[in-house]
Amino acid sequence: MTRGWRRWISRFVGAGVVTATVCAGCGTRAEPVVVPPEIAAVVSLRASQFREIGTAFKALTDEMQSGDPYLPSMRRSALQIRDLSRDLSSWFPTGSGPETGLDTKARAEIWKRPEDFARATSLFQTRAEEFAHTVESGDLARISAHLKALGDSCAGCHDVFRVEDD
Amino acid sequence: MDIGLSGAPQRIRVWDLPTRLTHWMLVLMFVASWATAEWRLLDWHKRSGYAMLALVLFRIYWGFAGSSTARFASFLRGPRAVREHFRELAARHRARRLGHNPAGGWSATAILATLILQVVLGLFAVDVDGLESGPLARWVSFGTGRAAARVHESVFDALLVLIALHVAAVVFYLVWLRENLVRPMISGYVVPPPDTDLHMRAAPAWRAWLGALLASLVAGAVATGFRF
Repeated sequence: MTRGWRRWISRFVGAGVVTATVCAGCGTRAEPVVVPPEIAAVVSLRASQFREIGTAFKALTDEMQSGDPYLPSMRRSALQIRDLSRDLSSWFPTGSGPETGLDTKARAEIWKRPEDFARATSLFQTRAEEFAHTVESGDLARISAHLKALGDSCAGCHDVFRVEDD
Repeated sequence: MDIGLSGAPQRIRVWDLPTRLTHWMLVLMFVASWATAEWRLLDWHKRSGYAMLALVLFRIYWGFAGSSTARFASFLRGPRAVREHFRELAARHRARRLGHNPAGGWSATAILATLILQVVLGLFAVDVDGLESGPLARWVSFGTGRAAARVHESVFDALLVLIALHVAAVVFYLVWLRENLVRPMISGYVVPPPDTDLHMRAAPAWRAWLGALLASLVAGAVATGFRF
């Protein structure tokens, strides 16, 4: 290897080390956010509760798509969604948004527009109650229509208040 | 080599019609799937996905039953052949070959394999609300369906990279070797390198029809979630 090449390589390595050091500094937070344990707990709780709601929804759509839905199973899922919807507004205390740095899809809009958020959650609750009644009726056409309406109330809220991930 | 009446080298067949149709329909369905996903037209996204499934199934079948240039056995070569190909490329030497070059064969196969993975993930994917799902999602949990949806998104990025490489290679061949790879994929014909005795062994049309029928039947069955 010639001396010229060695000089180039050492320069290249040197530049790499400097860049890496500077970049490592860029990524470091000046002051880590201290999240109260009850806030961390509620952020974790609401993620798992929404997973429960998603699971119940999937069970409902699976039944509907089967062509021969099993109503007792649909009833169980509908009641689960209704019960969870009643608690939903308590899962978003002030200070549990993206500013915590925790893993949450909640957008800051929830706390910037509390009235809109309350309206969205209330719509979901109302439709979840309606849907639970409709499932009792056993009328599949109405169940299908109300399930769609209930789903629309999820999507309507997510469009504004949840970080889009797919 | 055949010489035409004008004395110019004659074109010979390189890609049969099923191979070309599959290629361009895959392009069309890829764009359609992308657009329908972006616009959240999930019903249409599913339809383009089923069409994509039928196309990849047909292409795999045609890789075994199709004309010689469409067959995996004719274009999947070992690392030595790929290295040799890159050496030829560096020397701007156009090899005596008909169909995929050793690098192109692997590129096409990588795209096909990734498309299969993408379609399969879509079949099991579940949206964030648990409301929309692929036809086979009832066989997996909500969590698994969500994971499939997330990987579906990452694999789409991988597809974009593979397709970008594929297109870049086509442009490179045009600039570096003055070889237009797009025209033969449209017309089916190519002017072969001089002093060669290459020809494509064409597969009979009935085989293509049989493959199209089988691929459509399987894709149709999957679309119903195997509920008949």
